[in-house]
Amino acid sequence: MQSDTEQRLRVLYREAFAHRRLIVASFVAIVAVMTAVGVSWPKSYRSSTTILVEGRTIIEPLMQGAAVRGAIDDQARNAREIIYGRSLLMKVMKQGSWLPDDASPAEVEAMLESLQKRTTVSNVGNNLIKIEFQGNDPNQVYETTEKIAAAFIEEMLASRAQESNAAYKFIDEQVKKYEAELLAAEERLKVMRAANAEARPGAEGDSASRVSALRRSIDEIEFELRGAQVRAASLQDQLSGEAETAAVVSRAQEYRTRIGELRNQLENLRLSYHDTYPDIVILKEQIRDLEQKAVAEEQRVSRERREAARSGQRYTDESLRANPVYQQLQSELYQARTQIRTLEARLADAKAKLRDELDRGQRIQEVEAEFAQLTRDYQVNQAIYQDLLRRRENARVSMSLNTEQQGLTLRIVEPAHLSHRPSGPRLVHFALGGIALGAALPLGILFGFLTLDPRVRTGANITDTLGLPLLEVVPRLDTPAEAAAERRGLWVAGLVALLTVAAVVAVLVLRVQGII
Amino acid sequence: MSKIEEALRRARTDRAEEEELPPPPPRTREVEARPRREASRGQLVGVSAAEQIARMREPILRDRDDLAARRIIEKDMMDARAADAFRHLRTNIFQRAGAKNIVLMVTAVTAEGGASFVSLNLGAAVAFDESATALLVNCNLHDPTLDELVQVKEGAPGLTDLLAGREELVENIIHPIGIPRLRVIPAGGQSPSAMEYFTTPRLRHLLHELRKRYRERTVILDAPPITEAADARILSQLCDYVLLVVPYGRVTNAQIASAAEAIGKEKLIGCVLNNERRMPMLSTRSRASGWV
Repeated sequence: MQSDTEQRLRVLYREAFAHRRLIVASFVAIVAVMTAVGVSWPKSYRSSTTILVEGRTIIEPLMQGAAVRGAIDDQARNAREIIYGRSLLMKVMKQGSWLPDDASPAEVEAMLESLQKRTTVSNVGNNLIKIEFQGNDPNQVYETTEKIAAAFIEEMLASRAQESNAAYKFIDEQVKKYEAELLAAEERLKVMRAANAEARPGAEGDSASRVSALRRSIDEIEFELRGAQVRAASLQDQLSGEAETAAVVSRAQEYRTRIGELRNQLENLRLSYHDTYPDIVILKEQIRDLEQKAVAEEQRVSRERREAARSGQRYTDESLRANPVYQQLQSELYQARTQIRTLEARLADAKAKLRDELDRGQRIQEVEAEFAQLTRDYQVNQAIYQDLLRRRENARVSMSLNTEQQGLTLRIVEPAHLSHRPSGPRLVHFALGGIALGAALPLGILFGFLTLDPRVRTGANITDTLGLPLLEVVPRLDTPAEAAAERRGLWVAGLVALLTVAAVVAVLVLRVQGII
Repeated sequence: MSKIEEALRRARTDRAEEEELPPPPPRTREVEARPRREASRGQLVGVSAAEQIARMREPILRDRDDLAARRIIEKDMMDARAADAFRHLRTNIFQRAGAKNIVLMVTAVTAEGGASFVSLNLGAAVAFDESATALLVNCNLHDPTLDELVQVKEGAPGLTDLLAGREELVENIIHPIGIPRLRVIPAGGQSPSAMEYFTTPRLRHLLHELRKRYRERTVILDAPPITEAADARILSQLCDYVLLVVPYGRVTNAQIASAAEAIGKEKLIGCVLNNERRMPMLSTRSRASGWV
């Protein structure tokens, strides 16, 4: 069994042969039309230039981080916008004398559109921009391409410089603004410091240590005070006790003691002397005297005591005051009292100071919070200001890079060339295409027709589709005259096809020689 | 159409009436080596079929150029493809029929479909065999292709003359055409009502007699297109087998199917795709496979 495709191709072959006249006629017609179109096709010239947008320059590593350059991709994308832009094309149009000076706006617009259509911008590589221009006059095409490239480079550099300038200006303004803010913050801090002299950094710590010192001294003073009071009280008590005992050791006692001593002396003298002995007589008198004095004394004391008891006062014997112990105790008591008074004064002073100090501590804390805020503001402003200063320097360098044309390197890699050979489909393409189309189109149409035509052309159709027995396929039987005519026709068809091809070749040769 | 229906009906009743007539040869019948004794009149008794055929009188034979100009195949043609095709066709038919002595109707799907061409060349292919003969009967009263082959003068008596009773003897309407062992019965004097003759029992008798005449004879009826003429339908009832000629690139599947349906499955022996376009410079022939 033959495959379906093979059968189709066989049928196509048979039918093509049967309709060879029509097919050859179509071939000749198509080739003729295509060649004619090729001959009359307007010549189009094309010129292109390639611009390298340099990704790295020698200066770049030196300026790393200091200068900012635009991204290359953006530049390639922008290139299209810039080149198709009205201003650039207008410039090119004016330079290239595309239009008379008195052209109407409509004409200008039409010419602009035509230029846009003829210009092609493409990215050949990562940073290669290819500008292509086409037209009918090779010289004009060449010049225009060059001008477009030049205008593009100029525009790119100018826009870059303008960009850096704008950036510098902006940063500069910002720097000035922050400078002013920084000064204001500084001023506020100064005023604050002046107003709160004590609120120096660390004042709070001082204050705390002072408070604790004061507290400690108060404690000490209170401790001493309590000691002194205890001492004074005990001295007082001691003084009262001394008065009791001193009452016994009174003057009368002394008199009696003296009397006793004098009696002992008298006794001794009597042993050796008569009562009349002067010394004995004196002694006797003295004793008498003394006894009188003792009695008087005793009477006075008892009288004073009674009086004292009556008036409720403690009785201090005068004689006591002359007692050294008493006097010492007394003086100690006085000292103790003085100390107590001193201590009390000191305590009051210390307490007052503590109060002051606590107040001051409170005040210092408040001031300190405000102070911290001011300081923080100041520091933030200062950091931004520093950063801006650095950026401004970067921008200044970028700006000078662009002014020196070091920032963006635009280099023409492939200059525009003067094209001598027209681009686009040439005559040879039309001729070859015509021959191919002339051969393929009629066959294609025939194939399509055969595919759609329901009439039976294969034996397989009868057997497979209809299920009928096919006994034989009888080929066409030509009479000798028909066979001869067919052979002739075949020759003629082949000859006509060959002649057609030869004619096309002749036309091509003439075109190459420049005759047509 | 009532006329056609009537003709069909009459043909059927005739056949029923003539049951005593010998039935058409069964498909599987073996070809007899010798003619039967009880051969009817006109037959030479005691002579073998081959001898009979060998004694057939041939007038002037046509030369090669004449045959080529009339698109008739011959044994040793320059371009043997058509001759081979008809040889194959002949063999296929005999294989399928199981006998040579048959009445085969050749009809095309459409007018100008090549039925005459196929029947003529099929007859020629049958006659290639020196022990066989073929008789072509031009039943297509409008197509004079076969009539033109008759070498006698204009107006030779033919089928309609016999059926109309203008001619009595069957021998008189069988004419040689200058090809060995191939005879033709032309259409004869045509009349507008010629179709009516097909319905008469005479045609049945005639066909029976024609087949009987030679054992090795194949009777080939060149009939008009089956879907276009009622004649062909009547004839298809009378014949043993029908060969359907499909002209290349001229008919659709539907037309073929309707023609095959008109013939009926029993009678249709097969199809022939005729007039296939040649493929110059390609020697292989496109041949239907699976049916040979």
